Parts: sequence; C-alpha cells; structure tokens
Amino acid sequence: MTKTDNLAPLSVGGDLVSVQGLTVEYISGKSAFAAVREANLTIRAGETVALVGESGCGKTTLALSLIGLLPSKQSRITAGSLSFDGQDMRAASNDDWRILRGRRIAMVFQDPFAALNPVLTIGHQLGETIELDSPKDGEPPKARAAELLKMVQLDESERILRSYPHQMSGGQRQRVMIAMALARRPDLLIADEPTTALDVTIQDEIVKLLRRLQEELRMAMLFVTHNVGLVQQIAARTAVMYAGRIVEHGSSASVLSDPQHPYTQGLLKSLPTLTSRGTLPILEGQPPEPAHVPPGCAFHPRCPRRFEPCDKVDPAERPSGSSLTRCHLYPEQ
Amino acid sequence: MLRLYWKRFLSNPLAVAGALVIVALAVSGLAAPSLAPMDPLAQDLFARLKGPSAAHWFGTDELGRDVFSRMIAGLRVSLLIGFMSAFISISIGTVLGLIAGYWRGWVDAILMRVVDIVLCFPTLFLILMILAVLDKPSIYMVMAVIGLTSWAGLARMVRGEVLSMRERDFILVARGLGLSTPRIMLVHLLPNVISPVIVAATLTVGAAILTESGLSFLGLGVQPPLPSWGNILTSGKDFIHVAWWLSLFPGLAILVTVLAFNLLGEGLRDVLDPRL
Repeated sequence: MTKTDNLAPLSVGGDLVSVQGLTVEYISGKSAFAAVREANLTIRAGETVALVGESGCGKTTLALSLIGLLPSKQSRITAGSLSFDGQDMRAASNDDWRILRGRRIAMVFQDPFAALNPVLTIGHQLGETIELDSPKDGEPPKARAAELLKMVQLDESERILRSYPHQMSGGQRQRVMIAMALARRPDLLIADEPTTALDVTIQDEIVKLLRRLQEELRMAMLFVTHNVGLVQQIAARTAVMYAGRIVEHGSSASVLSDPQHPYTQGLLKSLPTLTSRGTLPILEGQPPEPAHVPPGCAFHPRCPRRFEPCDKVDPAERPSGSSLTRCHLYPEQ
Repeated sequence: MLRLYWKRFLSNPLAVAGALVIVALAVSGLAAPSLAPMDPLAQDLFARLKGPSAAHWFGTDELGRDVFSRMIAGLRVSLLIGFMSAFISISIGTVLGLIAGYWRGWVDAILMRVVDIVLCFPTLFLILMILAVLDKPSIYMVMAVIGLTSWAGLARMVRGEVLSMRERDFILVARGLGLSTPRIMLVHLLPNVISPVIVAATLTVGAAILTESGLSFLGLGVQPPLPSWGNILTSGKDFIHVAWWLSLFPGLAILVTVLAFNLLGEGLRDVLDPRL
C-alpha cells in the first residue's frame, strides 16, 4: 500500500469499518472468556459513532480490536469478520496493522497522565510522529508541530514543545494526545473515554474540540464513553453495549428518544434531567463479570420485563423501531 | 528533573567522593605516560627492592623498576579493562533484556534459560578455564572474557523492568501511532529502564577491575612485563617480608578504586531510584 491512496477521497458514506459477528476472547491459563460477543458495527467515512456502556462491558476491547492493539498473547478473535476500508483485517499481520496505525486509524486513550512517555519532551513525541510521514525536505516538523498544537487550541507552542509531560495539566496532555493522533490525518479516530480522567469543565472543552476537529478534518470517529449524556452532543449513531454484546444500535436520536432495549431504557431513565425531582430510578443489580455471564440474554437477571425465553435463549439482533436490538420483546416479524 | 538529580547527588558526600576519586583516576590514566616519573619497564639492577624515598615514591621492585611509575601504567590497563569489559557486559545485558522483555514468548523463554545457565556457572571458574585454554591472553582477550561472563544478571533485571514498562499506556500509544518496534524499544522503552542500567554499569566497572586484579594475580590476566595492579601484587607476594611496599600500594589502589566505584554506584542508585 502506498502513500497516494491516503490522498484519494474516501467514498462519501462508504463503510470505513465493518465489523460482523466479532467475538474476542481473553485467555488466562487454560480458561478463556469472551469480552466481546458477536458484535456488529459499521462506521461510515466521516461519521461519528458513539459506543456506550458500563465499565467492563467490552467497549475498550472492541475499540482496541479496531486498531489491532489487543494484547496478542492474552486475547484472540475467535469469530466474525473485521475490515477496514475494504481490507480484511482479521487476517492482517502485524506489519499490515502498522501501516494503518497512525496513518489511517489513530487512537486517543483514557488516561492522559499515563499515555505520554514521561522521559521524552512533547516536542520529541509529537515530532517523531510527524516525521513518520514527512520526507526530510518537506515541511519542517517543528512548524507542523506548532500548527498541530494550534489546531488543538494550545498556545505557547514553543514552551509546550520543550515541556515534559509532568509539567502539563491533564487537559493540556489530552490536547497533546489528540494532536499526536491527528498528526498523520487519520481517516478514523478512536477516542476511548477521552474525557473520563478530566475535570468536568475540561471534559466539555475536549468533547467540543473533538467534535469540531472531526467535522473540519472530515474523519470518522468512534467515541467510546460510559456517559450517555455526551452522546447527543457528538455522535450521529449510537451503539449500546452490555456484557460484551451490542444490545442496541441505531441513530442517536432514535436510541435516546425511543430506546428499545430494556437496558437502554433503564440507562436513560437513570439520567438526571432538568425537570426530574426526587430520587432517580436506578438499574437494580450489577453487570455480570465477563467470565460469568448468565445464560440466555445476559441482561435477564436485572431486566424488569423478562419473560419465558430470556434465561435460556440469547436473542439475535433484530430491527425494532428504527434501531437494531437484541431482545426477545421484539420477535422476528 | 536533571537539576533535582544533581541536587540529590550533591547531598550524598560519599558518592561525590567516589566520583572525584574516579575522575582523578581517569585523568591520571589518560595522562599516564607523561605523568609517570620513570619508564615503567626500565630496570635498574643496582636499585633493587629499595623502600619508598624521594626518588622512588613507592619504592622499587625486584628488578629495580619504579613501582609508582608501574602503578600509573597499571592504572591505565586496569581502568581500560574495567570500562571496556563493563561496556561489553552492559551492552549485551541491556539488549538481551530489552528483547526478552519486549517480545516475551519463546524468545524470552530461550534467553532466560541461557541466563540461568550462565548464572549457575561459577563465573571466576569459567573465566579461569577460558583464559587457561587461551595461553598468554592479550588484554583484549581479558576484557572480552570478563565482559562475556558478567551480563546475565543485568539481562534479567532489564527484562523485569521492560516487562512492567511495556504494559504502560504510552507504549500502547506509541504502537497506536505506528512507530516501529526498534524505535519503541530504543527511544521509548530504553530511557525508562536506564536508571538501573547506569547503576549496574558503575558497579560492574568496579567488579571488573577486581576480577582483572584477581586474574592477573593468578597469572592469567595481564601478562608481564605489561604492568597491572594485579601482577605487581603477585611479584610483591614473594618479597612481602622484605619489601612491604610492593604489596601495600597496589593493594590499597585496588581497594580505593573499587570502593570509589561502589560508592558512586550506590549514590547513583539513591539518586535515580527514590523508592529505596
């Protein structure tokens, strides 16, 4: 694959990422458990998809599998297909992935305090990424670095380039991370809970920044979050995950205003609104541990609307309303 | 960061003393030919086994050679062997540790078994065996043999550091940005595991000087007439009742030098690893 195909315009609305029936297992010793089970997800070029779920539901695992960064010795993809821009990535080698990483797919991680190398300056880390693409006679890396910092609204680029990570605030570091991820103009940005480790006020700025950059650079984005409240601000489509399964998947508007799956309904009911009074309803119980997912529908022990088949048969994904959902309440038509 | 390290280092008088001694020794070693008052190989059979005096500060040996001049020449040899064999040992240990820790799996398994084997050999015995077979080894042989037998502990230590470091987010980020594996290992991992390597390097130089002295004492290290502290000591042992200076000065020199390296090494460890 050469550099030129990066310049070719992506077919607008074409599928950039296509995940079908993807199952990812973690292996510990002789036992294995599925952290992601039969996930279907498509991300079209230039669109933002939100992936929502509680901690441990498998959303980070799914995100890592899209950039080929699953821990190679402790995990494996056991079923399904995974393709990026028409290329089958399930069979991809490490080198295939390395060609895509950074250049076409980039990732911003949750914890900006751990994501920068503590012994290297920002200028070094940013410059090293820029130099991967720019020939020596091209735009000087320093100018490009300053430009990138400006893009993520960091002033005083001179000083920041000379700084070490520990001399910067969390918000600044996350901006640097975003600048590094965007340095090579990827087609897909995976943002794995990019605001979780930050103050609420900074969170809002980072979300706005990501949204603006996504539009300006016309890239696709997978925004992983446990905060349903952020979804409407940023994503056109939303996928809700529970215990390794994508239980509901549709346009953000329909998922938020007309949730189909009882889990999504419960999740949305527990959100505070301007008019809510008294105690918010809560979802009873705890999500299952990934190694001990109950049989049938994984949500059935907590589901207020469970009935006969729920503890025996894992529901398949079926259309309901304007979304796709996995629930026995919506039988095949 | 560096300023903090410097301040911590200066607050440790023993480490500073060690560093000063090492600098002084290194300078004397470099300036050895012009510093020695006499030719270290020139014999004067009319002035054999003379005690320390104004003309011969550390006395003369059984062939009338000036012990002070011989020790300065020997200093050069000893330091050269110390630094070079430490360099060999540190390079091998660091590279193998990085590879084993980063790749894990069967690469790691094989390398660590090799480390086990090297570690369970009595090192001195191994060195003696190799040098005995070589017969009249050159000082380069001595360097190589000391260096090649002392890397195993460091390899295991670096591997441990790398194993814990490679799981950190910034390594995942570097991979996510598409950086190559050699670049991640050398630019991102190595600086993060370098502190124990620096400490080990300092201690290894001291240990290598000690090993060289021991080997030369046994006649398997630096071969006469080339002087080294160890072989000056050997010639001194036959005359210990009549010429104490022949044994005392090289013995003290070895003691002070190795002590200086150990003090510096421990000082650096305190500076670089505040957990201790």
